[in-house]
Amino acid sequence: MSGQTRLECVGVTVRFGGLVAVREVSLALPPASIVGLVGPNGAGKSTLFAVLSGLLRPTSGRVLLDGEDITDTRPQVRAAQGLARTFQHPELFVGMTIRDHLVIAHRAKHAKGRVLSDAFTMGSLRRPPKAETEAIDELIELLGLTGIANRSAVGLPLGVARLVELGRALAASPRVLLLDEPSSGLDSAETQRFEAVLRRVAQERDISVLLVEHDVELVMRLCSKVNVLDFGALLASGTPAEVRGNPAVRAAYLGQELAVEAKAADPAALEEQAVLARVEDVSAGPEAVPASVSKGPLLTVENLAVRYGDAVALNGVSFSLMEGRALAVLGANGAGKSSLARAISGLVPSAGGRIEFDGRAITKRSPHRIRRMGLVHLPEGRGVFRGLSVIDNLKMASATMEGRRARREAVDLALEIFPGLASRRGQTAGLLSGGEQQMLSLARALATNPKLIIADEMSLGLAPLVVDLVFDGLVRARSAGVTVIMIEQYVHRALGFADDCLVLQRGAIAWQGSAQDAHGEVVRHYLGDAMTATAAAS
Amino acid sequence: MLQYVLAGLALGSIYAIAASALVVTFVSSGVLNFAFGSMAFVVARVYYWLNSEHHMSTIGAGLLSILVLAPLMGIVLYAVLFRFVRGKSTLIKLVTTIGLSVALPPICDLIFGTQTITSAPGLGSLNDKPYKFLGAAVTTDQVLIYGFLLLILIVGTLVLQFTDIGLRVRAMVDSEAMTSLSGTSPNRVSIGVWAVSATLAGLAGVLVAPANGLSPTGMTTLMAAAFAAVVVARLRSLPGAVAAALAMGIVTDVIQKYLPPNSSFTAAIIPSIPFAFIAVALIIQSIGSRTIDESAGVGGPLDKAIRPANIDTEDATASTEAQTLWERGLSLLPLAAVAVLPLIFSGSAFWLGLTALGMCYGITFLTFTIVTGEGGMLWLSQIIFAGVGALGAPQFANSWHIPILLAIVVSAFVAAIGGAIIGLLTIRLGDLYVALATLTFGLLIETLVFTRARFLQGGLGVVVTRPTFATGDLAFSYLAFGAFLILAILTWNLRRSTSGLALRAVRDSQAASRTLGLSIIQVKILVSTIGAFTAAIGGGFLAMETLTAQPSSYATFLGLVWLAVVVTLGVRSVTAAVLGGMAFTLLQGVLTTYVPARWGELPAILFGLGAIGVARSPEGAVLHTGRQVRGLLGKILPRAGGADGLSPLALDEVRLDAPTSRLETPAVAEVPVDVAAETGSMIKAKP
Repeated sequence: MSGQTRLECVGVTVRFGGLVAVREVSLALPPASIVGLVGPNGAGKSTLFAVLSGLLRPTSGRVLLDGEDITDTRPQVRAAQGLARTFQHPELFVGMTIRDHLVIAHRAKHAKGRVLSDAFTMGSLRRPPKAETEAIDELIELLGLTGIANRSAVGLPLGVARLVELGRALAASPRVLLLDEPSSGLDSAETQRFEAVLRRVAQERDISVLLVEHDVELVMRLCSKVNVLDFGALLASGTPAEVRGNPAVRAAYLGQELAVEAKAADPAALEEQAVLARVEDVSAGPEAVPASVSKGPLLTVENLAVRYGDAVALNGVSFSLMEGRALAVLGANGAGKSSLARAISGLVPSAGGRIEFDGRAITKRSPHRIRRMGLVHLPEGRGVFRGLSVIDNLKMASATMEGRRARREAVDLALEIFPGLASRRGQTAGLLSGGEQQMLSLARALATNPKLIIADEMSLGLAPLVVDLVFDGLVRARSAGVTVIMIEQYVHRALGFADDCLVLQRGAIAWQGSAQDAHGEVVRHYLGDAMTATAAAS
Repeated sequence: MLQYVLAGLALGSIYAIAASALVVTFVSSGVLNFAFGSMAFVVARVYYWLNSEHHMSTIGAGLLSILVLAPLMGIVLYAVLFRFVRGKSTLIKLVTTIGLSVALPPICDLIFGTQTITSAPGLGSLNDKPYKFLGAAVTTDQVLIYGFLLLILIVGTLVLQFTDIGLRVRAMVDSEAMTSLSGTSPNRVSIGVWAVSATLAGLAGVLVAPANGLSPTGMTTLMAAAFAAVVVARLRSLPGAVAAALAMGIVTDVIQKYLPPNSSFTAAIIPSIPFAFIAVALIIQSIGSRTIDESAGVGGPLDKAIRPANIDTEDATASTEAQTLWERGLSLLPLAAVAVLPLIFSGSAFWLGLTALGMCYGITFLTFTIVTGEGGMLWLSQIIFAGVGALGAPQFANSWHIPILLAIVVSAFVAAIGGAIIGLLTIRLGDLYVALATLTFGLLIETLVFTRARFLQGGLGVVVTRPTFATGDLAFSYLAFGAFLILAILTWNLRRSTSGLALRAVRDSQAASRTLGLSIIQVKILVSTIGAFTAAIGGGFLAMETLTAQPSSYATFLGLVWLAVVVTLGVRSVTAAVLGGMAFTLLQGVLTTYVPARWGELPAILFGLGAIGVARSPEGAVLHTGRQVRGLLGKILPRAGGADGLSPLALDEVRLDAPTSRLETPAVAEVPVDVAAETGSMIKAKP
């Protein structure tokens, strides 16, 4: 077996408490090849990556490096055995030059004793060994960093930072290289450059590469074999062409109802559905979109840019949203959807551009003042105070209302809209189920007569039947005349709900138009042109 | 027995008041306030001034100082300082609050005078007849202390649990980002929290003054005990902190029943109780988890997700491109200036003495360059290692009959072993815990070891002789400068060698270092050993310069002043260490010669403010001015080349804390940094 595969994981399962993050996954890396690992948000890619790199021990299953069991060894030991990795957010040594990154990685592998001995033997005065200098020069040339090798790693553009990380990993002469989302936050030129280097690395250096990526198109171009994870399990595995043609993969990426029905039999979800449905008065028909009453634009975004350090999250985004309408913001993982929501609500500062809400510029306004203008942002991952009780959560939301009486009425209104919360008013919000937390989040928003609600991935991680309840809640908001921006993974449901659609790709608007026309466009931007072509042919 | 328990309960109550204030500010704003002791001192000093010096009634003085001045101080400090350190790295937070703790007491002395206060009155009158409780006597002060703790606990619980304000504070603790998304301004909540915290600091200061003495040292002891309770409570649990504080107070007093009174053993055991609490708590907590992560749980996932976007990306990219010969020459200028200083001053015994002392401080300050600048660890016990060198060297010299220089090296090896042990014990702790543990370790050695009669010699200190070839100040200056150069080259080599690269790698990213197979334990112990060794050599030279070794010169609180000096001038720079030493002594010389005596503590204020300035300029004044000078020269001489801002000081590279250095907030303390820069240039201007 050791001749066949470099790195292999066999039947790996990871549980966090009751949650199964990775279920019985087996995959193998043949020598000198690039293998891809893709999957929608929350599919378990990062968990599996942590198992392979040694940060996490699997609940069951084994990890083998050249046939040797390394399941229980620490990252340091794996590094010595020839396993190297990069990080999704580059972990550079900012006080060092680019060249020094490679030097320390090279010495950590080939001249380990010098880490201690150099301090006493005036090691800085000795010339580095010729072999080391040559190896590092060659690597710098390969990365195309010759001109800036002696520059400090502070403030490098993200594309260069990723190359430096790659070089640091390669300087340790690994046999296996694990890359964690190497193209996230890069623009297309930077991605191309990284891709070219990676190709040369795999060809010239006899290294097996595992590429964990959200950019499906990049993976399809680079990899000889692609593995698709969904809900912690291996959904598909094969050549790019095989994976492209697989309907289950398409369903996983677009969150189709096909997948929803398949999981409806989950008893826990049914029970939760029952609990929530009993207390909730669903009067409106499922996703009945009310006739939109369009007045002037409620929200105008012009040329908006957002940066996280060196990474560009959004660039040149412009759109406007009429009052009373619903906008679906779609895009692959990392396309900048959450950043858009955060920039509008003031949570992150914009690096350029202009935002106008309700006739007033809010670009530099602090989030609490924007909230008081009636713009509610329900952030990704349960917008509640997890440490506070249900009633305290509602009281905090009502703090925007003037006067004690108005505040009390707002809390009462919230409990009226979601009577299920009343019976749990004393419970800590963090202990509620995911669906109940989203109900609470919605209640917090609806109780205060908002003008605009931005709902970021409210259905993420919820059982499919509970997702229905979330959508019902937003329908209710719309029927009350509230404008809604919805960021969603269930593409078809989101498009069914919204009037307009915005597709983001690498921080820029790739397409915008009416929700009805969006279906084909979204598939193309999520899975790449090649995939659409295959689907159309089949 | 009951008598001891009641007395212990009073002490514990004060600790509990202090500990709860520390916990509340930590959980709601992420800052563990190292200036707490100094803030307590300021309020207690004002109370004393009003009550004892101006005969205001106890109630009037108490209300004015604790309920008016203290919250005002909290609000002002929040507005000008704490507001800006939120979200910065633990190191920056620690250094700025330490800077504040250094600057506040001398500012206070400047206003109220420097006379030592032998006995401070409490809130109760000494003439009151003690109450009787089950046969045990209880003083009015004790009753008041119990009362205050109960009042604070009851009112605090009621406010936190049942009012809108309390709800907002709890929401802030849960998540700052969610709080602002709910329409509540986090700033306004923070102002309130800091006002309350400062009030509690003042109350604790006034209450503890009669027992601990009205001095910065007494207040530091109070703070250390409160820190111990906070550590036991894992930094976050308010009831836990109160319970631990009360337990600590009771243990402290009850244990005295079983210890022989008036013995040195008893005197040593009592102050080490907080240290014992911290040690036990850390051991228990580190058994539970592999590493102790103090940042875990501060804010929610949303707060973490948006943090990088709130970093100011405008960053002067420091570069280390190959320097021209011309620039290398320029970088040696400050060192050359220091080298000729003794010659310039050779006519004046006063100035020459100060120069020699400055050289010795330069050696000692290298320890911060190594441990904090290179190792990225904030150790508050470096002065203790200097003390080991100073106090240990004459002992070895006398009992083994070896030359003093050799004896200094021997005691430096003793310190190095101590450094290695502390390094090993704190290896898994986060920055905050390392600072807390080394602070208590320092206080422990200070009270446990430095108070032995062998070192005190009845208050005269141990006599130290200089080597026969360097008895004069001029020769001794150059001996010290030589020692500095040797250690500076060692430090420089450490930085540039593989060891230095590994150190920097571990400091910048532990995760990435692990994946390279670098051993974090190895490099951290290496740097703590070398750091302690250097400190002890410096301490030995300080003792030789002054011809005596006084234990009181190596008190932990003074170490914070040293740290402030080094951080002000630049903790990443070898040159800054010696310039810091010079500035520290010569500035005092200038002040004693030309300025009225009451301004004598001005340096401490300047350096304290300078350390606060790291929030704005983390690389320190020397590198800062260096870059400005080079920018200026670059304008005049176009060939100076290189688009990036490059430091002209060859030995100096980047900064205290590069990842967070981008968090430069424009409003804080530009002035102090510049003032400190001037103190640097004053050295050259003075002759």
